Amino acid sequence: MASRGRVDVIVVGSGASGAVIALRMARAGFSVVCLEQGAWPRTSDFRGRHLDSELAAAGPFNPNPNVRAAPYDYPIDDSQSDVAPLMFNGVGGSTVLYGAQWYPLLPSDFRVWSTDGVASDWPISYDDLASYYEENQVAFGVAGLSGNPAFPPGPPPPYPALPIGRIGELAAKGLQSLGWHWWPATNAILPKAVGRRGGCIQLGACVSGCPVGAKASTDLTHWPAAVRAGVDLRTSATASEITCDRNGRATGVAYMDDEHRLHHQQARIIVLAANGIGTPRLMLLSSGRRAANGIANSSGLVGRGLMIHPHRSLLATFNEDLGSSQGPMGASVVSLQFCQSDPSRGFRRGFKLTCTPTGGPYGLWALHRALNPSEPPYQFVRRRLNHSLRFAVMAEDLPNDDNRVELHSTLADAHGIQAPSVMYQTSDESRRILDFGLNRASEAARAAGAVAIDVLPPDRNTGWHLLGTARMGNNPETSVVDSWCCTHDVRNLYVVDGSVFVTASSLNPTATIAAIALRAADGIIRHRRDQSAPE
Amino acid sequence: VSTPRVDDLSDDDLEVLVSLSPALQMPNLEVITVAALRSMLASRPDLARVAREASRVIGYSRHPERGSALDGLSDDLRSRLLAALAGTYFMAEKVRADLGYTGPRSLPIDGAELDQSPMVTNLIAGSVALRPHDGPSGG
Repeated sequence: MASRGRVDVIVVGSGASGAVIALRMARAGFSVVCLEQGAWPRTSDFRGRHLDSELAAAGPFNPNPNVRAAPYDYPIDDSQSDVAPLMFNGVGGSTVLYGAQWYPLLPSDFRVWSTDGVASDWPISYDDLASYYEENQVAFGVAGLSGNPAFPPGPPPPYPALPIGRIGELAAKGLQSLGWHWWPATNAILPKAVGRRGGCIQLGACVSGCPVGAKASTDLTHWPAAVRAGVDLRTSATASEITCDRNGRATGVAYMDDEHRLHHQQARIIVLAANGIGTPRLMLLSSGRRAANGIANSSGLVGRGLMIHPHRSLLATFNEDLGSSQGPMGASVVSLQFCQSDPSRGFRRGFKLTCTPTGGPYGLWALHRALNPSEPPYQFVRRRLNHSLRFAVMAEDLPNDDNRVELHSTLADAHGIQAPSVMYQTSDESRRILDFGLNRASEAARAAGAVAIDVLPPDRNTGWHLLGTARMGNNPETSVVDSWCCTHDVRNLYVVDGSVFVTASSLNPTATIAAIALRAADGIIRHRRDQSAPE
Repeated sequence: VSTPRVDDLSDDDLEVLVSLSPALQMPNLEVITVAALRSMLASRPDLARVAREASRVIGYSRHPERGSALDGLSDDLRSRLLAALAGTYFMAEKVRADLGYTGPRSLPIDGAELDQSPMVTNLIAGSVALRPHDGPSGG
């Protein structure tokens, strides 16, 4: 195994968190290597402008790695899970395929134990992240309308909100008539061309890769600058183990290249940014003499407490043409009316309600298959295409240690590295949230004038948000990392992705993942003199 | 995306694909012959790519619930064929014309502000007064 000379920092993963921390640390003068198991995505490969756009979204750009099955994807055994994990492996990580909804958490999301007596409070507050939220919304190029009464005041997003379209007008009308909060959605999507990135042209292809670069993915927003700042970004580099010295300090990362050759990179600091499944997988793979159950796992919580945001939706159909086959696919408008606990509802915490376009005919045809109504498929599609909007309910699921990531006993990736198993069962409480949410969504659709409502059955392919599997906390017995994302057990090993979430909120996590990573970077930079080198 | 090859679908595949169309209740799809379908795909590499990609994509997954019309075929074959049918079906010009769907169109925003219609402006003004049940969650 070839071992390379020591650098200051290795970052494993190049998505939202890995890109942010790599760029920050390189600019602070650290030598940084980033290991990315995938390749650079090529915007020219994205099919959003073409007739086969929807099929590409179901195939080579499918967010489910088991379906996409690219050479650099690792398989995931999700046979014991209600929800299939979704992700992208490549420079930019899952930001390449996400919908780009961009919200901070609500201040109360950080203290659910104090307010509702559930789960745990975070060891950090909204105020600890506020400046990082503000910085990142500029770096990513966020478009939104300031003044949302659900959030504390703050500087406006750098770009005006994207048009909400006719679907947004109808949804807003319905929500408003019911007296419920709503606001134009905030998206990390450029409304106009900036530099080499194009402005949004509303192709409706966000989740299969934006062909004009309007959507903020870190291969566009961060990596060019990070490479210029000196980050050594190694693609086709699959991390297989975090190595340690005899004192238990991390010494580096072993990784495989695309010809299955094993390498070792030494570093003073290891940062894991490989998402809520990839990170615990690597930690569990890294079991040595001092860490039989995985590195930094004295709590036994590595991989435990997976939260994934249970999701349901409905189609609301109108007589008028809404142009809803296109538009930014993340959201048009959002309602935070039901995000927080109300004991009268019969569940704790709540959900976010969004209005989104429906996409093109192939997607509607797929929905018909799922619904299996008496209406013939073609009629179903023709009636709804460009005449429907989707109301989506995303629930805050509470951490449950039985929902978890483990190593599979036999399944392995192309390098022979053990693959993860994911066990996730939707709780009864989450089901009550979703049922309640669908009823509210139906009310909003009727209030908006919908002539038909199709409540879609549960969809397994909704596991975008992979959270909580190396949770943050002050107590080493009940958490994996501290409030600065440093593992309690190994003081030069950090986790900065969604794994550290203490609770899930009901808001999309990417803005918070990026904010946490940036804050962690500042923590490392501030204490650089305290960090002794491993032996 | 690699160069499309019509030959990726065998005559047998196409035969079954054609025979499935009435069973799948797709009335606007004309009854076409294997030869006609092959000819269409040969002259339209974009459609050939759609069909081939659909076959490849859905071939990864198994959907045994897709209906009795597919009984007797292997899971893999019926999945691939159904997907290929869907792909060619929705992309066929006749069907697109009937749906009024021309594929994704470029609709530039050009930096325009959020919809400035009085309706949207008024809605937003009204929404400022609507707070989540416990108000903005500050502090």
